[in-house]
Amino acid sequence: MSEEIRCLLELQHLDYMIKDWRNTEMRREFKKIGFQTAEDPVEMLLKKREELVKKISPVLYQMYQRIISRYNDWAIVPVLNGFCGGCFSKVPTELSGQRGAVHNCPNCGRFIYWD
Amino acid sequence: MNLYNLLKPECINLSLSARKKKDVLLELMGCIRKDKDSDLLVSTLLKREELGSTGIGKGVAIPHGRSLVADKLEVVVGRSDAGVEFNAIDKQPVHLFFLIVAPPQDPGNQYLITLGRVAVICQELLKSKLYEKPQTPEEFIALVKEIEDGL
Repeated sequence: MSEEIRCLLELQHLDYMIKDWRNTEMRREFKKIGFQTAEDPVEMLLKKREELVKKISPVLYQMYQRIISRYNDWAIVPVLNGFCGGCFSKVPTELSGQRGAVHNCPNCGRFIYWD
Repeated sequence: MNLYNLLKPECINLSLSARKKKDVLLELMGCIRKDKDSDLLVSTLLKREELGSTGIGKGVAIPHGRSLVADKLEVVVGRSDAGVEFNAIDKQPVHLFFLIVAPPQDPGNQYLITLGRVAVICQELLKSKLYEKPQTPEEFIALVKEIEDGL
């Protein structure tokens, strides 16, 4: 897995976490369970996000944001048995020969990576 | 929803060897993923820990996170006789772990429900240190079932 893909995946994981911590029901349950957190976990996560974004090229980051706002779910997905993990369409086999590079699914445009 | 239905013998490690936070998360993740993705997930779990430890005290921790790397909700149980320094809220070493990993979108919000259920079961397992008794993963599952049947 290339460093760029890894950073994009980390960004996506961070975005899931931010989404969870913005969810009031989730925060209430976390508190009930007994998890103690920083005063403002969302702000803390946003700072981490800023740091991570600095490691990603502006072009890739813009693409990431565009994909997220388009689909509102995930921007980077694994290729599973030759199919895009986002839209489930067949990924051309010639792309799997360049696994180290950053690719987008030709059908949905999401970033794809091979496990 | 019953927790014991989510527990699998291969995802229960009753003799954890790790003594530090990152190592124990890697050891727990090793029960479900042995590839490089587990490292990525551990990095996510550690970011969650930086917000505040999931060590909720009395020797219990419930690390958790979401990832596309997980294709379904998974629960991993770990027990450490020696205890792990996990920066728990009571600063005591952690002996019992329930690691929960879920995909970003799970039907019926199973992630949150499971977290709540684990917290309840942990309270019961702590009574008379019940969690120390099982000698095999199957015995551990049977104990959780017994607790849930009695709730």
